[in-house]
Amino acid sequence: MSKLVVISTPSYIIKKGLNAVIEEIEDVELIFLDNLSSVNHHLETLELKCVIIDQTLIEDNHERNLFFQLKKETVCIALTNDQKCLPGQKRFDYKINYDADKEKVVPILEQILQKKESPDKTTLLSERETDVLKLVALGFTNQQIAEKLFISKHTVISHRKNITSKLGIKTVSGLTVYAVLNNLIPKDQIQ
Amino acid sequence: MAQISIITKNTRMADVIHVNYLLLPVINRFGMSLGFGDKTVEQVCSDYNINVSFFLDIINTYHDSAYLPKEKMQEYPVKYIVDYLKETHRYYREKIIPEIEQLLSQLIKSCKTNCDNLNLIDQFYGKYKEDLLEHLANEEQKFFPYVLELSKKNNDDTNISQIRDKYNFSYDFHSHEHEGVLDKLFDLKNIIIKYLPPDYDRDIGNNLLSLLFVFERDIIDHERLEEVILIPALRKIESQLNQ
Repeated sequence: MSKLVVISTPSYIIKKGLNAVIEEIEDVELIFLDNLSSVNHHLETLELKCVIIDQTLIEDNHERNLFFQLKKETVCIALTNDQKCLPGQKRFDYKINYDADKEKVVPILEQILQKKESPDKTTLLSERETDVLKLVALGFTNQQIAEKLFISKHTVISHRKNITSKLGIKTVSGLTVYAVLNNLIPKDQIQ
Repeated sequence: MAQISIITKNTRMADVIHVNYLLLPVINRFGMSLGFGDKTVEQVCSDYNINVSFFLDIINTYHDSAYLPKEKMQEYPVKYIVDYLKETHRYYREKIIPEIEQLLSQLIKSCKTNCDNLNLIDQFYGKYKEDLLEHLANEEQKFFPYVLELSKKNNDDTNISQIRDKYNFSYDFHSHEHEGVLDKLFDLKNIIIKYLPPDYDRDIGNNLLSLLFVFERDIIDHERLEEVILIPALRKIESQLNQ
């Protein structure tokens, strides 16, 4: 599964360099921004909410404000050139020095990129999965579900695989019982 | 007690049970009862007039999920296998299903408040039972008669596909049904484990769940038996007739 990481720096060399380093660790897509002005818009679509920010960028007042407005769940990594105290010090979850060697850089990136690699089997269903589950329980076919939810049949099938692996229930009638027991569909609607 | 990986004709029957007591219902299906003394498998089989290599194939298939019968050992008629499988069906219908139902109804009675979940589980079981019985009937009406009729043919003017059509038998449909029956049983167990309402009688609940685990194991082995013994034997007959 590919996910995206936002890299926010005006420096062409840093962007290219980070791209190469990250590519070696995992196949993830990267978004490159020159500054933070559109960062929230991008973060909303990401599976992995992670921003790598050039610390010199937030010396600018406007950028600094945007930085502090980032949601708490967003993982922030600072690219920094030194030991001197820079703004936003406490907000950053990780720090990578420009002159850090491979042994220091790679473990940090690995930790962040691979943390959420597989879907957590103990969490409950996502909203979309719940929508699919309800329709499965009501007896609709994959094709009908795809049409109702405006998604492809392929997507429906992949949602169903995830539902089965999260709930440990394989059959349609088993999923129906699950849906009723959890008040997802009213009891009188099942055949 | 030493671990026995493969049961042979010289293994003492009492040791077989000590090593794996889950084999007892399997042994019972051959008509054998406890009180084996120190007799070996071979001696007990001859007492009951059972083909010993057939007995060993069946018992080892259940005992060890990696066991594969050697081809040369399959020198007993396929009718033996079919008869054994029919006996297994009888055991499911007359013993296991009534026992599950009895425990389930006791469990429902033991529930005092919020019993909707249990009723749903009961309904789910009802659907499962329908599927299971239909599958057993299909095997008895399509699969077994096909095997038996084919095993009686010995000349080369036999038209296999004609006989297949007569009994409406297909390999694909057969294995597909097996899967469905197992998946539903798995779900039934899982729903009971996860969603039983809290104020049920625990002893009854535990007995029911244990029974479902044993039953599941038996069905899996029953299916393997068809896969590793009966279907290869059937394919062999088919290819001999085709020559």
